[in-house]
Amino acid sequence: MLRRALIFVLGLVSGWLPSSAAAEGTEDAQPPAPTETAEEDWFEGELDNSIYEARVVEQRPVLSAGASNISAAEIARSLPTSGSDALRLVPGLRIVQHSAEGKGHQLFLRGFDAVHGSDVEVLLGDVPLNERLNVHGNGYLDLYGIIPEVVSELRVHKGPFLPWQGAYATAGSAVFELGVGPQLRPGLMRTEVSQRGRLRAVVLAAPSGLPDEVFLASEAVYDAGFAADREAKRGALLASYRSPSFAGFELSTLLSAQAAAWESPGVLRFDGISEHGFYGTYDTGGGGSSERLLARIGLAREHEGTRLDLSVHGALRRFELEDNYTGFLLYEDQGDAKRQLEHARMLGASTALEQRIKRLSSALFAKLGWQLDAGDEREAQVGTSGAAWQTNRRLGARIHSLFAYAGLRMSPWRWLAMLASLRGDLFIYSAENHVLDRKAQKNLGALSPRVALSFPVHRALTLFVDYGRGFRPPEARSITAFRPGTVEDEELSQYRGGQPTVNVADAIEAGLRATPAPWLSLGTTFFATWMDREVAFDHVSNTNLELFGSRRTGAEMDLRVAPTPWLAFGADATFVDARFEHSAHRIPGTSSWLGRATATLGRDRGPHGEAELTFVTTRYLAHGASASGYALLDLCAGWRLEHFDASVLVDNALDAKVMDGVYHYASRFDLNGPRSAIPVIHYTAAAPVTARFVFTAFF
Amino acid sequence: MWKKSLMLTVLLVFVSLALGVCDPEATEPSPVSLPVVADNTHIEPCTNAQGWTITVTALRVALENLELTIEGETHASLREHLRELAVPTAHAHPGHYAGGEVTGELPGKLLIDFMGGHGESLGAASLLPGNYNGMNLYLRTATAADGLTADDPLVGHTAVIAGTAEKSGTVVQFEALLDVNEGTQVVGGPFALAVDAQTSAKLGLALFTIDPSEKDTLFDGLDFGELDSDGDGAVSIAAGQTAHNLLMKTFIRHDHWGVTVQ
Repeated sequence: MLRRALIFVLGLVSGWLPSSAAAEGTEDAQPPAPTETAEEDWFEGELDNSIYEARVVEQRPVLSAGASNISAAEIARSLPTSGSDALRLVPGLRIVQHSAEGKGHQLFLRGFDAVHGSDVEVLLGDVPLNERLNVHGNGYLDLYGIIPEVVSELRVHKGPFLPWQGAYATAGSAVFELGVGPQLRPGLMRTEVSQRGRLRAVVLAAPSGLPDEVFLASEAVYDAGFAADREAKRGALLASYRSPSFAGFELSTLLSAQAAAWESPGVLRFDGISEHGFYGTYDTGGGGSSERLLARIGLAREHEGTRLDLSVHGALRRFELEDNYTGFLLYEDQGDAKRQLEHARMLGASTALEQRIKRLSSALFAKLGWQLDAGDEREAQVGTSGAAWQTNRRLGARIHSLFAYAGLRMSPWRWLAMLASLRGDLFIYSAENHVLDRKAQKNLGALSPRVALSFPVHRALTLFVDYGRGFRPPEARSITAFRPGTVEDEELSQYRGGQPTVNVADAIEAGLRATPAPWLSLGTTFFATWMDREVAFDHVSNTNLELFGSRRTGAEMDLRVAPTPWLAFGADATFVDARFEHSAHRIPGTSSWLGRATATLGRDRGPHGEAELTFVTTRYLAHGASASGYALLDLCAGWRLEHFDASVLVDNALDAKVMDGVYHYASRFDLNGPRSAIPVIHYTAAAPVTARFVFTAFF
Repeated sequence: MWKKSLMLTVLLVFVSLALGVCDPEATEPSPVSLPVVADNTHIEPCTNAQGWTITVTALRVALENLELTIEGETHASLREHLRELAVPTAHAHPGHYAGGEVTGELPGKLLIDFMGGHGESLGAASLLPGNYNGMNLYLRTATAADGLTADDPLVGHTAVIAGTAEKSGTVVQFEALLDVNEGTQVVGGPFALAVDAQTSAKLGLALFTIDPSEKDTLFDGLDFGELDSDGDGAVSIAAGQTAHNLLMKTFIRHDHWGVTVQ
């Protein structure tokens, strides 16, 4: 009892950092055991319930060709530095940090440059995390409130083929499920330190004998940064509770708090490496801070094949960012720095009903939901003195989002499983643009038919064919913009996205998954997506620009081999050809190939290790420019005892100089040099070789 | 046996990919250099909305940073295109609809004497390969640093336009000194050229007295008879006058600027 109390206290304490700049929530936990896999009658052997063993059997059946489930064990083995960093485990998903820890990543998936989340939907359980109101980007994702140690599963659905995939799922969705398995109870303490001055502490309290969803976790991080202008501090707290019987219902609650403050190194021109060094900066003084408080309460009841789910969620959010990606190009005297500020509130509710029909091996399901996002956005030009000298944006906005879907899941024959649905979404916007002195209201909708067919033609082989439509609602400020061409000689420096509308993407995919033996799994998927309009977030103007239609075609392959319980290999590769249809130019930032190869050694006790090689081929940029690909080798070695684990990780072991994010646009950072408006390559650097020592105490 | 082979294969993949790690490289498109000259072939006699036929005899302008733009991947919506077919709007230039990504430029301060310096070299523009469809420029105030003598009428102003206006036998000599806010940008003048590494062309920076798209004129709104209130046949237009503001507003519209290909 005393020990549990101590854990609880430490969990709270670890949320405090020595610095004063930002409130840091904290919390956390450890990777829970893999959730129960769907047993199949052909499967030989016991399901793996360990937290670390590398076994192919962790893979469980999926509903569409591009879906996959990343288990708690996989997450635990990779020791991600944050919830956002855990997305690196998603095959074919590339994340880019162009600031420092605390700022949301830029995401690339299936040929989409999802920027900060405009094309990748992320949910925490059933709570959507894409911010429909965010001053920095449409659908902005901040995943630093998710503590990887308590993620029980990361479910990935590439493409928009499943009914519950909502706004921003044009490229796909990722769902973080939280839970702590019995192996990690009653809790753990984890500390991490790197030679570059990064400290991380996690405390998890999860009393034994309780459901997986009952835990309290905290996380605190201080990072001095691997180079100048990259200091970051953040913290997170996650509290989850579930009661199997609460007035006849199953009750679940979740509370998430997070805070972060970070510096922003900005970008470096490729031609500036010789002067500033590969990891140099222009010392533009950028940075940001954010806080979020999120809560969810859910009720569920299942009776005679009928399941009813009710949930309410809400969030408070503050976000502030200052950056300068163009130097003195636009404003020679004051500089081009911008400061953005967001205050937002979110409230939502949903109810879902599912009725199983045993005779037909099928189920009818339906769900209704509503969410209100309200907030204020501000953006100002900031001079070299730090004072704002021009207001670019002052917007108050509300968005009501309503959705309903209904569908049928059935398996009329052993060789066919079908998930067909029709989803409708309605967005009710109201906004007041105080800069333009305009108020506007607009209602927009989208209808999304989807069908996912799987054909388990053999116990070791399943084929998939899927069709679906994803959608991306416009950002709120677009509804107050002047229509293009209606104002003679208006300098079109404001929103130029044309008429606001819900952008839709139609996608198809076909694939197969073969599991000829319990220790071998391989799959391949061919996919294609067409988008009527493409919107690219422009960091220079901080606007989304309307682009020509685009299409993406490609293929994904993955292989997992576990010849022994202590050895496993995995590899995945994604090829994508992403182009604008009008010009046939490639979509900037995308690459033709990316993939990963992993070798894992070890079991629950004793020595363990992992080697992972990630590769990305040439990144195609705007205007015909390109940046070379890269390969990153990450190594991990450690030793596990019953109550302790000590691991050493070497990230970027080859010390490759990697341009993480690469962009092609004009800038002027040298006021003594001539001004040029011709685009050049800019990049943000990935971290050099970094050794992390991670010590974990299990209670 | 085959398991060992598989493991060996995987290890080889690791090693080969690891060997691929090297310093980052980047490939920039090579800019194409094209000469730019002053082009006065579009400064032609025109009849304005008030019925005056204007002939320009002198036109000098101070500007800087000529930018050349491609459409990029931005576009007008299909609905807009369809609407354009049915009801042509007054906005036919790329500046209104095209994204106008700047990928070409002639940087620096320019002082252009259109009438006295036709064909005069303004410098060499650098253009990345692409399909160009627009141009921008920035207007500025001329100073002695431009090499002007202190008594040059252009000093302290953006442009000097002189000429004659004739209507029903009445002839008025006019001179306008235009003052435009420093850094005022003219966005979206026409410039159509597909540029690649083999492109060899001379570009002309042109001012259109007659808007080629809408056929309105640079001098619309000016009634020279009213301006010549003393009837001496000479009119001076300067800042502070309504006529100045009318002419200045038209002068900074992209409708009257463009880059021609010679």
